[in-house]
Amino acid sequence: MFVLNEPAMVVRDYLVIADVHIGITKALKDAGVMLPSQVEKLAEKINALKRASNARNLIILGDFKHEIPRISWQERMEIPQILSLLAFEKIIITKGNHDGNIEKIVKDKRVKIRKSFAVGGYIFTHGHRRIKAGKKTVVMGHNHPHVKFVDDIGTSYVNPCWVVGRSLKHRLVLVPAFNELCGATVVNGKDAFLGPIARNMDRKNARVYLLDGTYIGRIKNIMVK
Amino acid sequence: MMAFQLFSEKLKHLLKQRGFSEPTLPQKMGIPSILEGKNVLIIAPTGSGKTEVACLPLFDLIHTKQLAPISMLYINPLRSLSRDLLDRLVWWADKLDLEIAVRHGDVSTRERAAQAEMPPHILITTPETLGAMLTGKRMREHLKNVKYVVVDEIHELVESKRGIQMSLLLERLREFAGDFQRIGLSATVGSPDKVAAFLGDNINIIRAELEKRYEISVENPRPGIKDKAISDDLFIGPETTARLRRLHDLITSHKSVLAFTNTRETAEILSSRLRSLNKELKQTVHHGSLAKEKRIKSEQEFKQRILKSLIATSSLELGIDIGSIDLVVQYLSPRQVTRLIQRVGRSGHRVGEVSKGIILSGAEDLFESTAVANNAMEGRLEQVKMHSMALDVLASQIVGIVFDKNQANPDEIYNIVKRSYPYKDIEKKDVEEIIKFLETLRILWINPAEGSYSVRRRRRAFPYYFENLSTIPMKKQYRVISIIENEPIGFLDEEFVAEHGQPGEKFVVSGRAWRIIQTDAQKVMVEPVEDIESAIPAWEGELIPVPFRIAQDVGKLRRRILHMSEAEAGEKYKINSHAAEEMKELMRNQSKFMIPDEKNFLMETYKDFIIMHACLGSMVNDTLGRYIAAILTEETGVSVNVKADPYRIILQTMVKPEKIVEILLSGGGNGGIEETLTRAIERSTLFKYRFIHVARRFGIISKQADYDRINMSKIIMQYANTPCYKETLREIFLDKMDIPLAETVLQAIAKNEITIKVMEGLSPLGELGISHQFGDVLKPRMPEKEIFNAFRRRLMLTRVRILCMNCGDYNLIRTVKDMEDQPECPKCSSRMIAVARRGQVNISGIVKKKHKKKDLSAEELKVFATIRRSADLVIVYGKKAVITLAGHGIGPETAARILARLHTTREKLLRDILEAEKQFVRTKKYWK
Repeated sequence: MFVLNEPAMVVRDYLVIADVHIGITKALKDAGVMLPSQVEKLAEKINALKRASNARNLIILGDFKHEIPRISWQERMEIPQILSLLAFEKIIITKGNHDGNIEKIVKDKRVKIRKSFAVGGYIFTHGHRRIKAGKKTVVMGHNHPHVKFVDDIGTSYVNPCWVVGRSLKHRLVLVPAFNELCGATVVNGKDAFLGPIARNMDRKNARVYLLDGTYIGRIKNIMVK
Repeated sequence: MMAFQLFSEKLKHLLKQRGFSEPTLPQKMGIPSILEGKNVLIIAPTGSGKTEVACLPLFDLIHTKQLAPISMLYINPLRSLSRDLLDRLVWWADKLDLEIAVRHGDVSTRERAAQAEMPPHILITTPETLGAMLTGKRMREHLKNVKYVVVDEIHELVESKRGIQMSLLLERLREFAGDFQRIGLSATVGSPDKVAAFLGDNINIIRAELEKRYEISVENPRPGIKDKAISDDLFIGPETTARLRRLHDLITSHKSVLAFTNTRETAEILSSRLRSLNKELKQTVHHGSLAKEKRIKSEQEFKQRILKSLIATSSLELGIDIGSIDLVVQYLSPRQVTRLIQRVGRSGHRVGEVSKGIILSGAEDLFESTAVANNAMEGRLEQVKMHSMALDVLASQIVGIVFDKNQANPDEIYNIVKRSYPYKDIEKKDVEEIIKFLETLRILWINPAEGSYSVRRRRRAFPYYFENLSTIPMKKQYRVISIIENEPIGFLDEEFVAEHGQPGEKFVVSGRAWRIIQTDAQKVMVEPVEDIESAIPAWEGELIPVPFRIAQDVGKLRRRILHMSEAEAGEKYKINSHAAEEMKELMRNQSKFMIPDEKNFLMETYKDFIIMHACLGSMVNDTLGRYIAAILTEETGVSVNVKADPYRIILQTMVKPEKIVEILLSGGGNGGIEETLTRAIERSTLFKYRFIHVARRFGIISKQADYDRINMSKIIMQYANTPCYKETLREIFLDKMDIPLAETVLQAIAKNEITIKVMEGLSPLGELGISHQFGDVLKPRMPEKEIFNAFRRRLMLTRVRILCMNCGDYNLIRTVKDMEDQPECPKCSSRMIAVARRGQVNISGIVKKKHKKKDLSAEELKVFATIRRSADLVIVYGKKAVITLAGHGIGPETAARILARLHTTREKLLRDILEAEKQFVRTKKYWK
């Protein structure tokens, strides 16, 4: 189900990714760092995942764009551009907190914009708002989960990871961010989880997996300072 | 005579007027060639009048040929020297009816506008300002007239990115002005051919330093009894004191002495201790971190002989005019031959005079100082190390070329770049890669044309080009603050903090070891630690690397010195007898283990340290150390502490030494350590730090970048395998490592030409290594021991109040060391002798009051109890009690606890007292 070594999963014929943050390069430029446009690189990476998995449809778990609360000039250009490069039959965007007014710049007929979207026993959503999930497993983005390691000498390393756990009624999966440039929530440190759904999670007992499938352990057993 | 005869009548007349009858050697050799129109590189020591060699004939040519302005550029890397130069040259220019002016970043806009309107014949400028001038429309018109370019202090430029940029700038200028005559002025350097090639094609090298003789000796002053006393007052070891006194005597016995140190910290300490030693001695410090005004003031005062001595760092190596000097003192090893020659070359400037230099060396760096001095006298200097193919400089200059041409195609750009010597091996695809990269950064615009394309600038190109004219990284300094005293104790360089700034890291500054508690944007908070063994000296970054050849010579010297008498060694190597003694002594002790030399390495183990002694120099050892650590980390998944100095690699690890030998043996075989090193370097904090600077020069990170909002590691990942990434690696490999030489060494190990012996330690040389006392230290070799001795002396010389508890009449102040083993009252023979602080004047009164059975106040009762308790201790323990009670902040309670322990020796007792004192200081400070 998880795609090996990638921040992506496949459910039936849906490829699922989270937090693409198109337009983050503009925010970085404002902070003083110039980066080339990432559209082609990201599109190629997603298309490669499609070819490898035979998925026909794509679910983007929100934060497809980056700028809040406006739509930047760059997003106006790049959102349609990346959509045109993606070779899927259907593209579902579960709207995130960065996606205000995204409808206005998406004209592509293949794209559906939803709050949440259910497939089989799973319900997909961004995670910044409550949804009615029933007993379905909630799959969400929003957190950009990372796990931190500290070695004997005190050098620390932070890696993206999957977090799988439970809240009262249902199972919950936190999906790592697809765009490598965005910030991180360190799951085994002091950072609070983001959004009402993740905050209701039984965090201590949640399990952490690296992208290569390594099971690191339950959060309570791997806490670092 | 001959040289001046070639000048015009007018100039000959002027020379007579100024009283120049006889040309100096550089003038005799240089003037004819320059007048003939040849490109020349003139090599002569700093301060020997090179400026006039170039300028007099060129002024004469401009005057006689009536050339149009701007006819001549005089490029000097040091902006602050421009005014000096102008003052020196303006008289000649005036008399020859030539206009001369200065132009650099500090010259006012109005003045610059005037220059564009009415250009001078001769323009004194900096490389960066030339870069700016080329983009100005009107200035560019004037620059078309340039016939002569003088590059001053070219030896300073040739090894830096500034120089590479200037080399490209000259090729851009050539596009407008056509071929111009090139004159380079250089101090003594190791590879004149390379410097000449750097200046341009067909350069005649004129070495005008031939008659210069160097007389350099190495001294390790013997500490005398007097030094022991002084060392207590000045808080330095007797060895340092002996050096300090020798320096003092040298200054007073000469007219003008320039003393060089390797770091700012040493210069500061040396000057302050000299002041404590002799307030009358007129001397001060001179280094790069001082305010400009202060530096200029001391330069002038030194020149006017108001100051007898300057204690300087490399800030004074450049051509600042400081008058004539009769002695140069190098404090501790100069590390490189070129540096020593350039420093010592500042003395004895008159024709035929000998340049005199003395190296004041510690016992630790004697071998190195001797090797450097001997190489210097034999004239064997280091080879120049040039940045070739620096991609960041290339990027900004490609943009410059696009400005010049308005629209350029890749072939044009390639042809201009290739003319510059540092880029002689560049291929067209390299240039195109940069052009494409600049396009993705939205600095250039690629306009496809048939079969090729042309390049134009985009809006970002201007700010990018101007922001990057200066290739000198702006280096921030962090204040170091001790949390104990909450006071600043020193400064750390940005690069040092980037590499070692994590909490928990230990380093040495101001002669002590500290552990980092926290680092923020401006300061590093630290606490003191005793463990000096694993601390890194904070001045590490300031130290220039010791070359391979010097380290090899040290190895040979170690072997040879044992078989020579002191007199022979003194004669052969120009060292004083105490130095020879020390060197022999160290090797005698080392020979009980094994003497590691240039071909035979020693690997010793001690605690969790593995110390490999290898005389390979700073860079090769750093390379091998990082390589070993990289392999170990990859195999075990744990990071490994590694430290390298010119003579050893020190690892802190649990692996067996045989494993390290195995790594070294296999490294030479497949011949590729670069790949492993690349992987290791990419992960390092050094890479991150250097990347930021390179990225700035590519316009990727702006100077105002907000680092809190940026995750640098992620940005770096985005730029993997781009020119920016490659340049960062190239820069680190050039500045910090020597991969080719390291590979040669590995091959020699594999072929058994170099042997490695594994042993259990700790040998004397190993001890020097882990206590990191090597090189630049103002601390004794064994700090603990020295601190302890100083403590013992202080305690023994403490004066305490002695009072007889019985009669109360025996009441006087005595020195601890003079006390009897079992003190007795001389008046009443009682052994009830109390010990109190000197200031407790009234205790005798209290005792007497008590004897008369008068009531004591609560306060008095407390004092009485305390002194009686001390008397009890003296009865039982005798003098030992007096010593203990003399300790700072040690009352009878603490003393009783200390004395109750069994002390087999006096030393053990003293150690306990020292500990108790420290405890007192610690708790007292925290209470405040």
